[in-house]
Amino acid sequence: MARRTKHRPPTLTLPQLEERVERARREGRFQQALELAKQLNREEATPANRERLLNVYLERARQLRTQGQTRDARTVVEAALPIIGDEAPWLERAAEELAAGGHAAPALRLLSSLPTSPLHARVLGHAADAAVRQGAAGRASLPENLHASFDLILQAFRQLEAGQDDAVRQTLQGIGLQSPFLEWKLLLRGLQAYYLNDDTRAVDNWSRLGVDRLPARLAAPFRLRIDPAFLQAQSPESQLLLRQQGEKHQGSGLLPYLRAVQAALGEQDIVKAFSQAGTALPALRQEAPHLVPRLAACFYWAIVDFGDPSDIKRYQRLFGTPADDPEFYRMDALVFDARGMATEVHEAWQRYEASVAANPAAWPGDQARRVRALIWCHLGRNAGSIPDAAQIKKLPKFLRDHPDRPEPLKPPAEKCFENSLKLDPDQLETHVALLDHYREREHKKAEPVARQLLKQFPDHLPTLQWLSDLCLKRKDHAEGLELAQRALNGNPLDRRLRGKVSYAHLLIARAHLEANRFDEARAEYQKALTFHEGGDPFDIHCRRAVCEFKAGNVEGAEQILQEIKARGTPRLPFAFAMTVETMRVEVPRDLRKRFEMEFSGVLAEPPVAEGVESALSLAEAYEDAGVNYRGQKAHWKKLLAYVAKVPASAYTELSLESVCRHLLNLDDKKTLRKLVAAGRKSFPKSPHFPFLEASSYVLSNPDKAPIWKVAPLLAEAERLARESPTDERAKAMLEIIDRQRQMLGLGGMGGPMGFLEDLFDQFEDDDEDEDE
Amino acid sequence: MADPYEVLGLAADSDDEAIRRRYLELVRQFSPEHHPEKFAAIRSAYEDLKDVTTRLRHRLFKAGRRESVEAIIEELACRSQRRRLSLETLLSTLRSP
Repeated sequence: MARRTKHRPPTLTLPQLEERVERARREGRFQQALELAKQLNREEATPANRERLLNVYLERARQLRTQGQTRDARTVVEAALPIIGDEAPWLERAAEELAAGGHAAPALRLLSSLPTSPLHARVLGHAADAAVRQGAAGRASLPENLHASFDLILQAFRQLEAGQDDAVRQTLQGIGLQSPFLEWKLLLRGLQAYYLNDDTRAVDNWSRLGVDRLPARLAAPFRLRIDPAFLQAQSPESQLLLRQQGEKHQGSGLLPYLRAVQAALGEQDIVKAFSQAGTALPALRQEAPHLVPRLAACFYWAIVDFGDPSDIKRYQRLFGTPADDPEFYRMDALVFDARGMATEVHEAWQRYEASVAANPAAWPGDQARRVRALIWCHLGRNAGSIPDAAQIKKLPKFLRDHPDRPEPLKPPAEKCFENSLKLDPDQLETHVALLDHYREREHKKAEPVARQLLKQFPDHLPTLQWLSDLCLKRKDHAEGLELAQRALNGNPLDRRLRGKVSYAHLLIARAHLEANRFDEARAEYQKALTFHEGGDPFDIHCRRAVCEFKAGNVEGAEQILQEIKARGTPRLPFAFAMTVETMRVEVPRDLRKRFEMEFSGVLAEPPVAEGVESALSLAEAYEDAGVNYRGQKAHWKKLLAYVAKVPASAYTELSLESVCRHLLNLDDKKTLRKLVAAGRKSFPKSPHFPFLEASSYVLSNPDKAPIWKVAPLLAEAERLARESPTDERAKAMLEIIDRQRQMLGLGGMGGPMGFLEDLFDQFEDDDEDEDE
Repeated sequence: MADPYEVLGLAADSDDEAIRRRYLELVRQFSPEHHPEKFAAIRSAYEDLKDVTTRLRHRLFKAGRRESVEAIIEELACRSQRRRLSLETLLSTLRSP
């Protein structure tokens, strides 16, 4: 049989040994570090190695202490003492470690040779903690001069428990500021304040406790409940542990059951939650009956969000039947609302409405009537969310003919709103919802509805604005201005409304100009200037100049042009405005040529960013106003070609964003997408560039928008918008993103194309089948 | 998140005037510059309760929506009488949670 040789580990060099010691220390393997440090010190007894060894002894002792092995910790410290000798710093550290482990007597013996050591107080403090922790038996572990203070602390605890608050105060006066029991005094004072609901004083006392002392640990569960800063400073694990400790000793016996309900609802295990609630309810009805309806509300909405019909019976068994919803029709309706099931919503709410009509007692006074009106308004919106016959005709064929396309609802939206207004003619919400319904469909009934709304609610701002815009669009300038002015009168600080009034005056000025009523035109231009908001009103001055040219007042016109130039208006927007305005109005041909040449001259120069925003803004305003003249397309093309040549780097973030918006509205997708790509690179935190890129796909043709491109862009825009809490426009963007998603059926319940989501889900299921 | 009546500290049968008065008191106390979250909560609560119709709408579509078991636990914990414990009971927390 072959002789087995004993495996000997390779011999380590001193540097290798040292490195292993340090690695073991870093990794918290202090026992191994200790063995290695001993070996290192044996092989090379240098001061550095000795120091390392002593450090490792104390680290190992601390490790054992924190693991609760205080006797073993003491053994380790005492093993280090022969090496420490009489070196004061090491003696102090060893004494402190012993004291922290509750070994006060040996700690004090070590310090007896160091009477002036500042550690005496700390060691005595730890000794006090260890003694109190043992109760009456701990007295013997303390020096005799501490026995009296020890007795006072125990006495104070007994008095506090018995409710003898004056006696507690008296007793604690015997503990001085230098006493090792001072922290216990603070704990007791804090507890006294806490029991008397004086949280401020409790926190004030406890905030002075040393974290390494026992009183701080005992105060922690109570402090967690009343000190928000202390709570926030704890890790989630500590919070949970301390909360459990606090609830065990201070909380109602119901708390564990309620926590179990909370956990079950968090996991959407509603059956389990009902079971726990059932156990807790009798006691809750005794202890805090006003909390029962609140608990019922939690379950009510849990059923709405993720319950099923069988949960209604469970709810009824525990909480009874709601007085205002005895058949649970309202719950049904809310469930369908939450799931976006429009057809079922329509039926369920009608059932509830009929129930309210039949049993108005739950809605005293005229509440029943108003509630029914609200329900019909809700039904109107619901019906409006499904494409009606007219909208169905406009759907793409594959959606129009899709078997899952929901049928128009009955009664239709208009009838629902009508029912609502019959019950409550003064319900503004219904008037607005009806108007919105017609507006979205560009229905001819929108205007009469708007006028009726304004008869009842003359200051309703959105309607005033909408009707004003409508009038101005069809050249009913007088009424358009009157409505805009009314809106402004009710909101005099609203800059957008001032801008609208200014615009209305401009349109009226135009009408006068075309009729050669120059004085009237001049007056209107002045009013337009008065109400003009934001930026350089160069375009108004250009119109004034053209007016003067047309009136034959060349000198006056040239003066205005000089004033525009003196104000520093960039050449591009100025030349563009003059070109357009002279084309729109009958002025001498040479005048038109003059400004067209000036425009061409600017466009031929090296492209710069200056003035691009203003020029594009003006072009957009002309398009919105329906301005149309011979040669317009060519001018727009030239302007956009110029803009396409301006490098993205020439813009600031805000101006690039503004230029992109204008390009979106002018439908120049090519340049827009080039600039937003640059914007996303240069300004990666801005949500506006991905949003604009997504919009460039969605707005041009929602039905054909490439969802695989749009969805990630919207997601990125949303994420960045949420990360920009101070950007108000970013917040507003979140709503638009949601609407765009709904438009595409990309998520969010309901919406006219909500069923599109189900359609795509179906395709995904089919793909999975193929893979199998 | 809390019930709007709780946010404004009002009874469920408060009328328009009481609600508006309380709302104005609270927004003076919690300005948007210094207490943005509290202000937003007060504003939202007022929007839900400012007149009969909005109150009914709230009751019909939203009442109880903001309730949570956590809030119930919090209230129960605060209402529980603070029991005075012996030293031994206090020390027992060190032995087990």
